[in-house]
Amino acid sequence: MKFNKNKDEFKNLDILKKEIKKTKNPYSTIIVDALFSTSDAENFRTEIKEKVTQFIDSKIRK
Amino acid sequence: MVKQFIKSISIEGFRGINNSGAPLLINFQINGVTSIFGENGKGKSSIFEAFLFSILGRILRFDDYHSDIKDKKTIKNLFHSGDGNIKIEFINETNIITDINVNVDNNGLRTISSSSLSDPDEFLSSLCSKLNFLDYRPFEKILLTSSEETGKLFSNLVGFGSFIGIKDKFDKISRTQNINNDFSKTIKENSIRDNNQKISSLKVEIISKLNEIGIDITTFDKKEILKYLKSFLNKQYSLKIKSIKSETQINFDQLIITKIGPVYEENVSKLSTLQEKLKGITLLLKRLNTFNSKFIKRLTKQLEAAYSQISSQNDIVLGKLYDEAISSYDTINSFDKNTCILCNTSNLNVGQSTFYEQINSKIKSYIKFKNKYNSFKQEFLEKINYSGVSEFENLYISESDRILTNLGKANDYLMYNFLEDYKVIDLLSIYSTKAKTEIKNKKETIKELKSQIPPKIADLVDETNIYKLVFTNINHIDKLLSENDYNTKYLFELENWIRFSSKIKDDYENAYNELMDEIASMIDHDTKSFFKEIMGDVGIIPKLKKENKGQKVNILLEKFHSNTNDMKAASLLSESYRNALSLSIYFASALKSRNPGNFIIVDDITSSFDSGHQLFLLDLIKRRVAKNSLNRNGKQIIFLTHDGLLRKALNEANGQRNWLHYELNYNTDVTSLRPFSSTDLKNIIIRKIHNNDYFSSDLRIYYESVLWEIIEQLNLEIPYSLINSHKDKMVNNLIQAIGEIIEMKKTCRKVKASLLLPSKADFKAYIQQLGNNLSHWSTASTSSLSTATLLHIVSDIDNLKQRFQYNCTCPKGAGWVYYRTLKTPNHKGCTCNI
Repeated sequence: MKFNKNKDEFKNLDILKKEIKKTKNPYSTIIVDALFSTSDAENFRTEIKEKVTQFIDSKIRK
Repeated sequence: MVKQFIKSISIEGFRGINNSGAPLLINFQINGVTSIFGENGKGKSSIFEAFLFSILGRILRFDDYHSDIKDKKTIKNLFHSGDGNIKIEFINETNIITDINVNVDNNGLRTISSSSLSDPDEFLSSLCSKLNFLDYRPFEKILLTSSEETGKLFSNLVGFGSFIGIKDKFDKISRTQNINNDFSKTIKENSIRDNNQKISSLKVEIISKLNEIGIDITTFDKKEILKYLKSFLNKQYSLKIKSIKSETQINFDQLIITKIGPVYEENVSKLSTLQEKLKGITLLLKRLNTFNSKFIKRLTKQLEAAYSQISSQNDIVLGKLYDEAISSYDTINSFDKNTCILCNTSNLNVGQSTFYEQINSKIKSYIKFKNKYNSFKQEFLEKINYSGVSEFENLYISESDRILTNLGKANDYLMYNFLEDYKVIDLLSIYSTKAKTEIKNKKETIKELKSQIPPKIADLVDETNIYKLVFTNINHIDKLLSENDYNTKYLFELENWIRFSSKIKDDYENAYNELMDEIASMIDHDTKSFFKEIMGDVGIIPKLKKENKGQKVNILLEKFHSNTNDMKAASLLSESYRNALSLSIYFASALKSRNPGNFIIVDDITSSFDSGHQLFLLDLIKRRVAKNSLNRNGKQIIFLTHDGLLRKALNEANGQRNWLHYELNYNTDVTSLRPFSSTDLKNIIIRKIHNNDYFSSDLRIYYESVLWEIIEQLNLEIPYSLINSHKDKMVNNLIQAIGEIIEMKKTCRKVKASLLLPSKADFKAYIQQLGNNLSHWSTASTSSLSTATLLHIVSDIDNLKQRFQYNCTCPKGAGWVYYRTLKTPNHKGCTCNI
């Protein structure tokens, strides 16, 4: 991952999004969605906790 | 990202600006600096706060106020009827104008609307951060905080504020404790370990029980064991089960009853009850044994320690009276000398102590006794319950003989020797013997009952019970295995998540660090240069050092005179140097900021500097921070100040390229802009003279403004130190200097001979006449000056001014204008004969 000092914050955040999605890891969508939809770290943690637990549970029960 | 600039602001009914029906309107210089000078109470900070409130939705200094002193009702001007209103026009690089209309109600609540935007809130929230606004408080923070906080401020300054939030988010989910709490990682790991232990012991129990009935197995093999079970059930109960699954239910008790018939059912039931009771009394005996002589010894010591606090039993009687008094008179919180009628009865002396002192000492001893006694009592009661003494007495001892239970319930203090008096050790020994007898009796009854059941039947019951236990254990093992299976898969998946999230976190942090490293080194260069411009080449060179990991940024001095070891800047530098460094970092960072809001609004940032350094700072802002033709990436600067030292320099700068200056005027609830034109100033002063509300300084200001105007308009080379002087005779010195430069120019033939400029003698007269007046103004009370006298002085100043002007009679009709220069007085296009 590399940010571009000549680009503004929003464009660099786009780079972050793309880099995470590029991994094609099943958790990448969860992490990107939560990163950009939550207002603070505590809300982010709560969302990650719910989404990751749900994901793991559904994967095991499949 | 399209850069946004502030085009104008209009303020009515906000903070100190009432302006009912006549909003204060300020147009700003887009490329360059707009400076606004306002003496205290003229509304300068209200302008700053109007920007803050409109754009950020809050007044930053209120954040630091305690709720006791914060009153949002003061946000709207208290004397303004109706809502307050602020209108800001933004203009972007492509000249598109965006308007924001902010209403503030009596409770200080903000409502935003816009005729050009559907979502003005979104526009404002993405426009800029609080770091676009700088007043005297926050800019030093970057220097006086932890390196972690400096790093965060630094990220904010360069417009990467949300990167801090993202780092915080990653940090939050990667903390081991949070992972454990959120995903129950440790609980699940422990559960797997515990379940494995349980499974092992269940298997051992199964093997041991099957061995008891002659099945010779040494290892747990579920299939084989179930084969035995199926075969047993088939053989003994003709029950054919094809396959046994986890949900299979077998009612072993019912099988026994059906098989042995109703005759033995009663005995079997009794047997079962007796076996349960035997189990109970055996356990009770075990618990009773914990109330042993060792514990009694400890209790005795505790009780002795409590009683050692008091000298006699009478102290307890007194203490109880004290307790009674305290509970009866709830207003008495302590044994207060002033509340005791015996306190001052010194004639009741007993030995060396007064009666009060004696009682007080005893009460203190009693309180200590009571505390220690309560600890003893608590332990005693807990033991009575835990050891099962109370349960035993309830079951086997008649109510009147339940000694220990009754002692535990006693309200009065137990005597220090009560354990001996009641022979508690003997009592417990009796209880133990009694329990053992009960156990013996029950065992005998069980034996008797068993003997009444034929051996074959008894064996069958035993064997069936063993298979029942085996079956229950197998089911339990299956359940534990299934739990372990889920948890193992869960932990495996969780590990995938942890690995992935920590990789993303590490990648992000590395990239973020690298980015900040690059920006820090760019900013470091500008910071050094800016600092040097403000403070001069004083042998001090600052340095921004980004730490390799984390977001910490250290602000150091790489050179402090002869010292070239890195030193911590905040500790070493004095206030003005610290401020110069903070401002250098702030400006250097702001220039790298990628916020759309391409403006910086500063309020009173120069207070800690002397006049020379203030001018260096102004010069830095103008040339290197503000947007201009040579500094295209510069910012729009709105510079608010109350600093009188700067006032003249700002007036000087007014009208220069990329610089617009206003002064604030305040009169009966109206704040207005005071233009620099001396004619406008004269009109204001004449109005004030007629209204009899002028200040003695008003005429001096007018006189000064005329002299500055002459110097500025005619480009007279007057030393700045003279203009910026604050000596009493400054105006005299100034006019003398004007006279001298004109004489010099005349000598050098740089003055057109026909100009009616004042002569040497005229200047002498002005100095005398106006100088005398000036002395008089500064000493006389305003009432001693008549309107006619004051108007006469204004007229004298105007006469002086007109000696540097000509009355232009060209068709366009310019009127009285200053000479363009002393050598070529006509303005472009003017055909007047001078």
